[in-house]
Amino acid sequence: MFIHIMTALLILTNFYMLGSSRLSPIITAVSAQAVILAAVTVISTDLSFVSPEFYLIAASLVIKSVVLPVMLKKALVRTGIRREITPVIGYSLSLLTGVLLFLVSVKGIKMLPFPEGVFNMTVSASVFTFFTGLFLIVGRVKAITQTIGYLSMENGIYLFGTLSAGGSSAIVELGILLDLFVGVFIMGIVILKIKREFDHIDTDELAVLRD
Amino acid sequence: MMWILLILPLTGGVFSLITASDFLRRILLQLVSVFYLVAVIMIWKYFPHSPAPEDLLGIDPLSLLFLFITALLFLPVAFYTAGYLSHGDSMGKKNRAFSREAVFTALLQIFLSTMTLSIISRHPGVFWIAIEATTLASAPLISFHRSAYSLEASWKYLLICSVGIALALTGNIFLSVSASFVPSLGSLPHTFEVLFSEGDLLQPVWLKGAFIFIIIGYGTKMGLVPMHTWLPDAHSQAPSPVSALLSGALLNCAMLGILRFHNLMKAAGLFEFSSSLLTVFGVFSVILAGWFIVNQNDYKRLLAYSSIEHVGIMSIAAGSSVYNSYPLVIHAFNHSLTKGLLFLAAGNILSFYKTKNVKEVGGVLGNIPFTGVMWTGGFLAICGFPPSGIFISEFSIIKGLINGGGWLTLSLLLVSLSVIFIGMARAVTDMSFGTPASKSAEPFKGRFYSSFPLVFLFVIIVVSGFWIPAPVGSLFKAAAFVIGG
Repeated sequence: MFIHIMTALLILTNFYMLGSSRLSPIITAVSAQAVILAAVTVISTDLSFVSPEFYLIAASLVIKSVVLPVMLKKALVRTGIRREITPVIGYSLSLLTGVLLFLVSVKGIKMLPFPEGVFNMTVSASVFTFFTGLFLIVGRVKAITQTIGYLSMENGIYLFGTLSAGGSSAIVELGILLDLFVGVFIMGIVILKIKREFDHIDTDELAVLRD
Repeated sequence: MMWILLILPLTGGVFSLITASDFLRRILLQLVSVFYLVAVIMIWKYFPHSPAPEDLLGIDPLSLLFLFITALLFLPVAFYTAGYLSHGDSMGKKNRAFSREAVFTALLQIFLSTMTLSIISRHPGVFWIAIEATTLASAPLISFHRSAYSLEASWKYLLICSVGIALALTGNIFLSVSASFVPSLGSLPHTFEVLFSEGDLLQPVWLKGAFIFIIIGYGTKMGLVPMHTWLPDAHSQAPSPVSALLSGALLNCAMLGILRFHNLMKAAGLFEFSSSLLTVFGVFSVILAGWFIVNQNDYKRLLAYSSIEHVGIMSIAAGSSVYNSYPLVIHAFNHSLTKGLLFLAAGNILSFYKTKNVKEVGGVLGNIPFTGVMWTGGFLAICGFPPSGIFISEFSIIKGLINGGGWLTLSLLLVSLSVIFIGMARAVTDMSFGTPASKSAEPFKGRFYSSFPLVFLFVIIVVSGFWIPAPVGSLFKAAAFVIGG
C-alpha cells in the first residue's frame, strides 16, 4: 500500500515539474523526489540499521534532498532568477508531453522481461522521472532548470536501478553519489560564471560556437 | 604499485594547489609527468599484468597500453604547460596558493588521475565513476580563459557529457539486470572479466539494451556522431595543452569502456549486433567529419573534427575486427600522439598569430620555421601518409574491411578519407606556405618549452612508422588479444 502511495506521489512531482514556471518550487519538487526515493528503497529492500547500505541511503537522502537543493536555491538568489519565462516548449504542451511520456514508460516497461518480483508501476514511475528530467534539459533554456533536470534524471536512474537490479555494491554507489554531488557543484560554479560574463543564464543564447 | 599511478598525480595536484610558488608548481608538474611515465614502464617491466577476475582495479595489457599512451602524451603536455603558464599573463595573481594558475595545474593532474582510474578499472560501475570524474575535472580546464566562448564550450561539455554519461549509467543497470538472470554470478562483484566468463548465460534482451545505452553514453564522451556536438567547441576553446589531452587521452578512455562492453557482447554471442552498431556510428562520424573539415576556417576546430574522424575510424575498426584488433590498437596509439603534436603546434601558431582563423595565418614555415615543420609533418602523419604509423593502421583496417567484405563501409570510408585529406591539405598549405602575415606579432618566448614537447612527439610518430621496438610490439599484440585476436 505504502509503495503505491509513494509511486503516485512520484508521478505527481514529475507533472508538477513539467507544469510549473517558477524555479524555487521545482527545486523543492526534486528534493521531494529524493525523499520518495529513499522511502521506496528502504521498504523494497529489508535493511538492518547497521548495514553499510543503510548509511548510504541516509547519505544520499541528505545530499539529494537537502544539500544540492539548498545549493541550487542559493544559485537562484545569486543570479536573481525566479522563473522560466520563455521555455522552448510551452507549459500546457509540456504537460501534454508529460502524459505521453508517462504512457510510453508504462507501455515500454511491459515489453521488457523483468526478473521475478519487480513492481511494474514503480519501475514505470522511475522511467517517467528519467524522461521528465531529460525533457527539462531539452525543453527549458535556463541553465539552472537544466541542472534540475539532470538531478531528476539521476533520481529516475537510481530508482530504476534499485528496483530492477537491487542496486550495486556500496563502494560503487558511493562513487556515483560523489560524482553527482561534485557535478552539480561545478555546474553551479559555471552558471555563476556565465551570469557574470553574459548577465543572463539562457542557454539558447549561448550559441556563438557553431558550424 | 598500481596505486602509485593514481596517487602520484593526485598528491601532485593537491600540492600545486597549496604551494605559493609558481616556479615550484611548474617544476612539480613536469616531475609528476616524468615519474608517471617511469612508473608505467616499471609496472610494464617488473609486474605481472594478469589481475584476478574479481579485482575492481587491475592492469591488463590493454590498460597498460592505454596507460603508456597517456603517459607518453602527458609528459610533453606537462612541459608545454610549464612554458604556457610562464608566458601567459592572463593567469591572475602570481605566486599565490589557490591562484588560477594553481587551480589549473592541480586540475590538470587530477584529470590525469581520473583518466588513470578509468583505464585501470575492471568493473562497469567503477569505470562509470571514473569517466564522470574525468568530465568534472576537465570542464573547468576548458573555461580557463573565462572568455564568453570558452564558458559556452564548458557549459555544453559539462551538460552534454553528464547527460550522456547518465545514459551510460542506465546501460550499467541494464547489464546488472541481465546478470541477475545468471544464478552462478551470485555475490561475485560483476567485473567485466567475471561477466565475460558467464557471457553466454547473460539475458540477451537486457544485454542488447545495455549496449545501446553504453554506445550512446560513452559515445558522447568519445565524440561519435551524432553525440559529438560538444567536441568541436570544447577542443577549440580549451587551452592547447588541454585540447591535446582531451583529444589524445580522454577519447581513448571512453573508447576503452565501449571496447570492454563490445567484448562482453562477443562472449554473449551478440557481436553481430554490437559490431553493426559500432560500424554505423563510425561511418556517420567519418562522413560528418569530412563535411565539416572541408568547410572549416578555424584550425583548432579542424583538428577537433579530425578527432571525430579518427574515433569514427576506430569505431569502424572495432566493428569490423571480430578476429583482429591489432590495427585498432596501433591506430589508437598513433592518433593520440599525432593529435597531441598537432594541438601543441596549433598552440604555438595561435600564440604567434593571435588568431584561429586559417585565412589570417600565412607563411608559418617562414615566420616560425620549427613549428611550421612540426605542423606540416603532423598533418601528413594524421592524413596517413607513409611512413607514418597511421598509414600502417589505416591500411590494415582497410585490408580488414576488404577481407571481411564490408564494401559499403569501405567505399564510404575511402571517399570520406579523400575528402578529409583535401579539406585538411587546403587549410594546412594555406597556413604553412602562403604569404607571410604581418610581422607585428611578437615571437614566441621560452624556446625549450615550446619546442621540446613537439620534438618528443614527432620523433615517436616518425620512428613508429619505420620501426616498433620488440617490447612495444608485443604489448600491442597482447592488448589486441584482450579485445579479441
